[in-house]
Amino acid sequence: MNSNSEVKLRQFRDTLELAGKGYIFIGIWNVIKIFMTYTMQQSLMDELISDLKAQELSSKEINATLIFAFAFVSLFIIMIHFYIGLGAIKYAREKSVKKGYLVLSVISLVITAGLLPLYFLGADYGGNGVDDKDIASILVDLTMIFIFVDILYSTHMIKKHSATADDKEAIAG
Amino acid sequence: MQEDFHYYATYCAAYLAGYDHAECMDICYSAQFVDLCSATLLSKIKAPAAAATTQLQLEMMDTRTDVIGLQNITRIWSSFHFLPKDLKASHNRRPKVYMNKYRLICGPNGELVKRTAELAKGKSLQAAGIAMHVIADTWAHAYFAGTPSLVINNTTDDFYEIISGDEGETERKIHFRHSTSTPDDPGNSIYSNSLFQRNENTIMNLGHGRAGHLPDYSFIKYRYMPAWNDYRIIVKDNPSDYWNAFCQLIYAMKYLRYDIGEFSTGTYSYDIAAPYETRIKTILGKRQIKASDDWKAFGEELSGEKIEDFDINRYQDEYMSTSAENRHDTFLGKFTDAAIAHKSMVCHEIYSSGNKLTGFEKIVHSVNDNRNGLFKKKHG
Repeated sequence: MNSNSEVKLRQFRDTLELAGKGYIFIGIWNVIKIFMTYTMQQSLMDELISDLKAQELSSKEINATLIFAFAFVSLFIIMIHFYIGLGAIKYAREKSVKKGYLVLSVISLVITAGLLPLYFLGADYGGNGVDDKDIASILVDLTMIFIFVDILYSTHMIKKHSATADDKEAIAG
Repeated sequence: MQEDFHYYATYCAAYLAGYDHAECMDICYSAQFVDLCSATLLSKIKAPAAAATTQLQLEMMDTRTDVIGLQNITRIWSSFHFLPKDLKASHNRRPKVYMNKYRLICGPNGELVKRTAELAKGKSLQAAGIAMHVIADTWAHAYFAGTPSLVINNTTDDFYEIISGDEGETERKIHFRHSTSTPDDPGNSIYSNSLFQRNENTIMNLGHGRAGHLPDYSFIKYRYMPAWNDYRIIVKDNPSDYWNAFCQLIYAMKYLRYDIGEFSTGTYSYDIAAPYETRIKTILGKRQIKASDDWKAFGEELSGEKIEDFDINRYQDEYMSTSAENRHDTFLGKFTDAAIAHKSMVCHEIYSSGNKLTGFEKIVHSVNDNRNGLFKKKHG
């Protein structure tokens, strides 16, 4: 009941479940950020609208395009986050053995880590250097990287200690 | 523990230790009174509030959980219901803030159990009763702390009852519901417990709330995972623990009667209880919420006397009608004196260990300090 493998299994399952929940919350936060951008960041919206006006679209068409674009992006983000998060949670609770969430985790980790330097290269539009908004975004991205690493590590350790626990059961049996 | 053990079982243990019926009644009444002596009651009878040995639910709803409030809560609950086992316990990679609470985890046979018995020796029967309550609770309330703390007292929801049968032990999941008005249902393993509260210092995280009343039921053996145990499961064998508690009470009371020279922890009067072992273990193992009737019948068979039912009002008139100078010689006067002394001892030990969760108890107050008016409350 309290062998090293069993204790470690509980610990890493708990960690994996927590990481999964954390990633889902970050996904919800990203959608809220998108909504806030759509409703409050006037300069960005003006730029987008002027780009669309250049294509000779009516106001209604512009609005519809913007709403559709933001809804599509939000949905895509939520789906990714929930797929990874729920996959991790189900694996932690032993309700699933599928590890598809790991593939997406690795891809997301590479993308997030790869894009991190862009904050410092001034590649974001409308700004020079790193401002407060960027610092907040960097912190969130670092948190996501930590969560990805945690998910990968915890999954690996669960697999390792499950094998050890199974071996011990087989020997005891 | 509940009235069945604190009142009736303590009576039985006291009788087996050698006390007569009247002395047993004083001891067991005092033991049970520890669960009822609140600031509200003390205010009603105009007794010192410092003698409070418990807090009512309504009092706890109103109590503050700032530093002073937490110290007051911890002083009462750690002293009388969750006596710390090891004030010098160590744990790797934990800050002082955490260790202060970790070191308040209750358990049997700690150094403070010995100090409790030694303090009660040569004192009143009321002091003996208080000591017996405290010692008994170290068995029932083991693995929980008498301070509000999420990181210590929280548990997962996975509680499993371990049931012994003809084919060995089986497990049955315990279902918790958060309904204090509905009685627990041992037949279907449905019990009440406190809701999960994220706040570290909320009163809901005091003691064994997350395990409901399971620690107070003598029949149940169960396993669960507490927050402090680093993902290790604890198996709580109440029938075995209560048997040890009963035998230790006999031993402790023989020590208080000077039949034994020195009190040693981890020592039990199994030999004295042996003739009644089957009877006692049957009571302990019987699947019932309260075993008062069974313990009462056993006690009355032992002594041949009738054990009066517990009455919280029994000694209050005596106390209130006595002049202030003479109250220390009344039943409740002796109880309050002993309670203040015990609380002071425990809090002093906690403070001396470098832990300020019970405040600054630099001086140990003796029984006589209350007699000398140190805690005199002025009433209009």
